[in-house]
Amino acid sequence: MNITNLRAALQLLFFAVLTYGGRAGLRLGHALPCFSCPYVSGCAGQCYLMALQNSFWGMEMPLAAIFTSRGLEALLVLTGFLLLTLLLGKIWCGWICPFGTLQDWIAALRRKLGIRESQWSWMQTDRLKPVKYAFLALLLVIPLFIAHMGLHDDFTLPFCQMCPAKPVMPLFAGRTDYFSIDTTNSITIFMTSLSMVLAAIFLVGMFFKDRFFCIFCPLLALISIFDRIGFVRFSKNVKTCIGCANCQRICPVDIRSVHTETSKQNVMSPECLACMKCAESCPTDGTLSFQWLRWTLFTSSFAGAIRKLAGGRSR
Amino acid sequence: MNNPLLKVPEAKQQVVMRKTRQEYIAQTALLKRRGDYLPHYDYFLDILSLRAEPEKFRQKINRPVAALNCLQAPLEIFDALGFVPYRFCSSTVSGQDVAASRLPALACPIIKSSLSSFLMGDSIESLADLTVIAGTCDWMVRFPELLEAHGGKIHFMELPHIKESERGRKRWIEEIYLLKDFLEKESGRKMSRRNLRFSLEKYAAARLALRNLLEARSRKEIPALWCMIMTNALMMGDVEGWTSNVNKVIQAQSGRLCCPEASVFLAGSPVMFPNLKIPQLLEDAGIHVAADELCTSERILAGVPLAEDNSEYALLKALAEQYHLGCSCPTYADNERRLDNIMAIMRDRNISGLVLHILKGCHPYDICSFKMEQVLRENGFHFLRIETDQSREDSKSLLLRLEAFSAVIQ
Repeated sequence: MNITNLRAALQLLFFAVLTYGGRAGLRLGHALPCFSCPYVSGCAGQCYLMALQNSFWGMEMPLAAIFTSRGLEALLVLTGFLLLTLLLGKIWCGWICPFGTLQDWIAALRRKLGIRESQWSWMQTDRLKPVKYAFLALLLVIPLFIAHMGLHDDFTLPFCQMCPAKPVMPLFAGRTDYFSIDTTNSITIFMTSLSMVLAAIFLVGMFFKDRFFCIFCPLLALISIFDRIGFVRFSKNVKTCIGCANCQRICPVDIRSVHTETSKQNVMSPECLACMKCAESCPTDGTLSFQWLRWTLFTSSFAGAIRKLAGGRSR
Repeated sequence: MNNPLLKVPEAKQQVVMRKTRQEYIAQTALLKRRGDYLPHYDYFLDILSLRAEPEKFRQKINRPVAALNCLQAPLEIFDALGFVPYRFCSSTVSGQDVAASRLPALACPIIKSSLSSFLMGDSIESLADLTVIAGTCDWMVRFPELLEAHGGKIHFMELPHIKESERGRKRWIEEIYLLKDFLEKESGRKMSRRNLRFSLEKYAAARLALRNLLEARSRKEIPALWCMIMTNALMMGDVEGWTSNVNKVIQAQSGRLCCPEASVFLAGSPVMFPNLKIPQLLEDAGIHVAADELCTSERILAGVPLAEDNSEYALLKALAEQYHLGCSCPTYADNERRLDNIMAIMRDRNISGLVLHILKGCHPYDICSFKMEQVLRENGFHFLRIETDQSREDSKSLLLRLEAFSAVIQ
């Protein structure tokens, strides 16, 4: 089985487990470093971003609560998130995240229809990189404003309220109620409208651009902080790279640095999803490798690349 | 040929054509007399020899033929539109004086030889339906002008020489689209995604066969000279036939060691049939070419053009980038990876010396040779620079130098 098929199979498995596992009694907690949306009834575990927004600086848990049982529970969730992030790093994004999987399925539909992917200039791609950090900052700062600056309670969980996964992912559990506008007050009208607009934009974006949401994902920004100390490594043998740019062309988030790097061995960039498509497409033996500590998870090879080409239809 | 001023007198043409055919026949006969000759090699010798007999070549191929110079025009696009890509670069000596009066004295011998084949009455123009020229070196950039008076169907591709910039890449994709439009117009058919995908898969098999061939040569199962003949034939006709015959040779030679002990990396100007002076001299000096970076050998079909989408744009972009970025031709301004790649291959295949072959007048390789020598020596490799032409006059002195080099690298 090649890496594309293996990844597709595992993505399907994780999608099913994370979306429906709760119905079978599976409880993976609130610390998952992926978009396993808490609004999906019967999900097996929850995206850490919700817990993060509810943490010490949030309205529900002021800093003073840090040494209470709830504070310790929050610390435990944070520790769980850190452990899971260190263990699997970006593999959460490329292989496990249900929302990432959904994006891959939507992109696969586009490919099936023979529609070309939207092409962005290098400048456009570079300009969008900081957006995910802005989202991360917002989701940390807004709860602070609620707790300490008098911002209205209806801004609670600001990112979850805007997140396109909130209206979309519950559809897989048969729930359509998040695809509606909450008319309780002007804030809820604004937030739910924003959520719908963003969901629509991202759904269209995902069709025309691979992993469109991941470009803006604050969880990816958070995980990437731990790239340097994480167990998952991505390295390049710069001496054997022929510079064909397969890695850049195949990359769902258009990372250039893997191609352009001519001196450093570590090529894990903050945008990388560890989907390993670049390594699978690299035609030189051992040039691109993903490792888990000292163990090689996958390394590039001519045979692998030619098999992918001869196989024709890539996902 | 439209311009009577360019016309080579009929009597002269007859003499040159006879001599050219003799060059092909003599080389073929020489190769067939070798102890390591296999009947499997006939396919490649036939394809290469038919260059001197365009009518027979046409009958054998029986499809429209597109003549091209360098490696940058993606072969898959020609194939997808029904053309057989055919490399027009020539290495015959007998025709060179025909072109000499139209070129500077120190012109590249390949340009002289190739131009002469256009000036002859029954050569390239009767062999190919159209000509595509990529502007690689300065000589090739001038080539359309040299052929201007011909009136043949010539398409020139403007090659961006800074390849790693976004601007260069975009420019080259535009050129690929212009090539597609030109070929569509000439063939009278539209290129379908299905046909292009089919051609990609066909060439994927050729890429795999080429890789296996080069590995067999590296293991010394296939003599470098025969390997050179087979790789030469890759851009000269039916790719499926080439793939199938290469696989037969690899199978026949599997496990048979048949090459000299000393191994080198051969870099520099292209070597092509029938002028096999350099590989023959290397062999005579007891040196095996275990790897090379020649555009007529190991560099053909470099890499693997992969696209994530199946849209026409994605497939063409993959081809454009593979043939452009994946090529280490020294005509590019940003070619920093070339030396690293060469040394990585030398370490991987346990090669301690590099022979740089420079045809007099082949300036891009000549200019790069100084840095190449310095970097290779700094990294502990042996280096030998050979500057020559396609005549046999300097063979003895070259052989002496190669024998001395062979002793050093052993």
